[in-house]
Amino acid sequence: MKAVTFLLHTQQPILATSLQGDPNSDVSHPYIPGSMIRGFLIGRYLQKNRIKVNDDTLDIQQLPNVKRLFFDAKTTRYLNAYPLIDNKRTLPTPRSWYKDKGVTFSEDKEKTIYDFSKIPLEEQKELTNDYEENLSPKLLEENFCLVDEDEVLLYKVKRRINIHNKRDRKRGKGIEGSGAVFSYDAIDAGQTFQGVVLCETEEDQSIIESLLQHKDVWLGGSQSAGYGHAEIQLLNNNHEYYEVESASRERIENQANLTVTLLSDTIIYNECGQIVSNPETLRQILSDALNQELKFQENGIYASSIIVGGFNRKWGLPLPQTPALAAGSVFVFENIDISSDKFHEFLDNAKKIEKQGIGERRVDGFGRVIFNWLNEETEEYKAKLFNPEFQTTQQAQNKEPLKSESSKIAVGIANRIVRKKLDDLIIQQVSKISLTNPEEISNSQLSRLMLVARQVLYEVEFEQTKYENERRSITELVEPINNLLHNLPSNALKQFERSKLTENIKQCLNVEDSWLQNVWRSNPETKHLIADDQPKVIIAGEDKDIDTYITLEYSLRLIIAVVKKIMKEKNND
Amino acid sequence: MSKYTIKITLLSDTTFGRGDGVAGLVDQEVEHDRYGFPYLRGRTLKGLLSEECDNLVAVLSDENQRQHWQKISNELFGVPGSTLGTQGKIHLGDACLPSDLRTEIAAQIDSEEKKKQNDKKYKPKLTSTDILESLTTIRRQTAIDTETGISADHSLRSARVILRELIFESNILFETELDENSDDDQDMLALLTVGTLALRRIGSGRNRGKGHVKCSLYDSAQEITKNMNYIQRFGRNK
Repeated sequence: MKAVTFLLHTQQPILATSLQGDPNSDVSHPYIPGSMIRGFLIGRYLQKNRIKVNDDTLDIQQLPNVKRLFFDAKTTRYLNAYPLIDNKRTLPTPRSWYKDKGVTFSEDKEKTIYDFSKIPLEEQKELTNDYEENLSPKLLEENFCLVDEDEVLLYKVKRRINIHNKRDRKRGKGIEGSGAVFSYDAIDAGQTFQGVVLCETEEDQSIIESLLQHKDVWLGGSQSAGYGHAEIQLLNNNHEYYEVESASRERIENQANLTVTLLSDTIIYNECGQIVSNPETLRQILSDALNQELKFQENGIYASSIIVGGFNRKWGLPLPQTPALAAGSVFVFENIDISSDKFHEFLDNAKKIEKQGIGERRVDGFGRVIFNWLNEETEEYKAKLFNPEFQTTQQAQNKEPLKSESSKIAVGIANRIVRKKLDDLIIQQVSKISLTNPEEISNSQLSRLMLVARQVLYEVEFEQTKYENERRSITELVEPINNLLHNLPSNALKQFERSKLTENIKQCLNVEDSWLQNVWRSNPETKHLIADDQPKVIIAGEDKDIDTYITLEYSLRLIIAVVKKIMKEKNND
Repeated sequence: MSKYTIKITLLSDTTFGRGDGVAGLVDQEVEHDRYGFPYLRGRTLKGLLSEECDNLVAVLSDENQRQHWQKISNELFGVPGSTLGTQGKIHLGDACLPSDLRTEIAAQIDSEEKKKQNDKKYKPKLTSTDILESLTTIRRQTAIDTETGISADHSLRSARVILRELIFESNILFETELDENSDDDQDMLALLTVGTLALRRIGSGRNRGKGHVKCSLYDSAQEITKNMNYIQRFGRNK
């Protein structure tokens, strides 16, 4: 199949609204629908060819390419852009896959997935009834997967839920009739999706590729207000494209059963012309298309239905809502007996179905079908979640130095983290300290000490606003406290000594062998924050350590806190 | 594609609310990403800018003048309802802290998380909570009972505020290049410039002291909001 493949890197959340949730919320599909890709490419085509709004775009005489490129599913099909992991386009998780209830997938440990479409009914019963296995089957919540033999990588699209409110423009707030709270559940930014446009000729391929040259694109709702920005990266398209690893011939020839998996939502009509989401109708359609009567295997249907819609931006109106068979539905048919002369015809028909899809809105990527996608012998898979390899780490490796503004913020962050940790340490330290004889010292002596400590604290804080070379020395700063302790009258001196406050203060003010450094190194909340053998917090390459001024500041804070504590305890007594 | 940047400097503590709180901690949480960086949503910023522009247009005295600038405003911001014809030309992004800083810190947090994943006992040196707490603080307030003059019962509320002096940047993109010779395009830029200058209050409690900001608009080379030509252009007669 000729195809144009490209990547969409989401720069902002994408609001690809599906018909879920309550009326006050927009819940996005977990993928970028083909209709959305077709819409933006039509817009670009009109702009590029200067086609006006009132021109008849379907007039083949005037505009011979438009119908073929955008409105005819036989010639061009815009497939849904599914998430890209490990440089491969994921596919919807088959609905025949079950996990044991309570199992949650992780990035490091593999868990078992059971493919019930491959396990005979008796064995399924054994699994659920067996005392050891005691399987309680549950469908997978992860929407997309990448299969490599019996190993599976699962991917759950990251989402961003935002709550918005509508305000009345004149009143400046929400009022009755002109105000509402609503939420947007969108695909989050920073993810990559692979889009595919299937076409028939090289000419069409090159036209579509030319439309994808401009890398910035806006998709989905609220495009002008923080949603929908994505970047296009065109891939090399000089090879045949298959949605799965191999061509249909190999898959059908190598397997006895015929298993049909829907790779996108599928809209089908029954013989009365009604849109239904009925497996029997699908069987009839496939039987007709393959020219071979198909019969469901017992317990061979793993399907669910969904309501699909859409939005036509040109009309400014929503599309009709219709039921559809959900992507990932699996249908297992009984062995088909095909004589060798009919087998080629069967293969051709199957290939055509895989290429063209079935049902309605195929141009928008609906109705993608695949035969015998998974190996029929693999009943169980080992699955884990995709580990995104921390893309930000890779981005940061190609970094340039931080701008001065950013660097200033980084220093600020580091400073605040250090101070928060120190505040916590002080609280813990104060609760630990208790004087041996607090009643020996009077409140007036404590107040005198607190006043001096406050004065010094104020000066220390002021000194920290200066450049390092302009600051006064620590000895100079603590002088008022030393003076207080040395010049105490004899009575006051006795009070300080009996309560052992002098000793504690001297210990506190020793910034060389600081209590703060020791506590930082021993406290479980801070002991891991050490770099170059020093207490340090590093943010974006900017570090903040505990210098002597901070040590003095927090020592003074500790003295004041302890003094307050003693006064409070004395008053309580 | 034309690209401009709005810089929002916080002059007072600001709450970019997200409509909910954290039980037991704060009644009004600020909008922040998974790394703890607060940001203002593009949708909110567009609402604020278009409101300022509408207010400026509404006070124009001349009817013809007003109609012309209203048309420019509609072209710039679009009108409600999603059709190709009524879609706004502007694409506003979220207003975030500088991207180089965010990328760098995000990488640091990711690497710490990875270490934590590999070793459950490992204590990360940096978490998103550290970042959020270092860029914000929590403010508490009560209502005053007018009769007693003391705080009213059950009225204590707490809100997280983003610290002042931080600068947030939002990209403004136009899908097509704005033409220097096109009157309409230059009018659009003029309206955007005056709207940006008029935007002084953002976020919750903005009429009560919080959310005082200074906004400026830049193109790739210089600050447009300092260019008097754009300011004088606004409101001129057609």
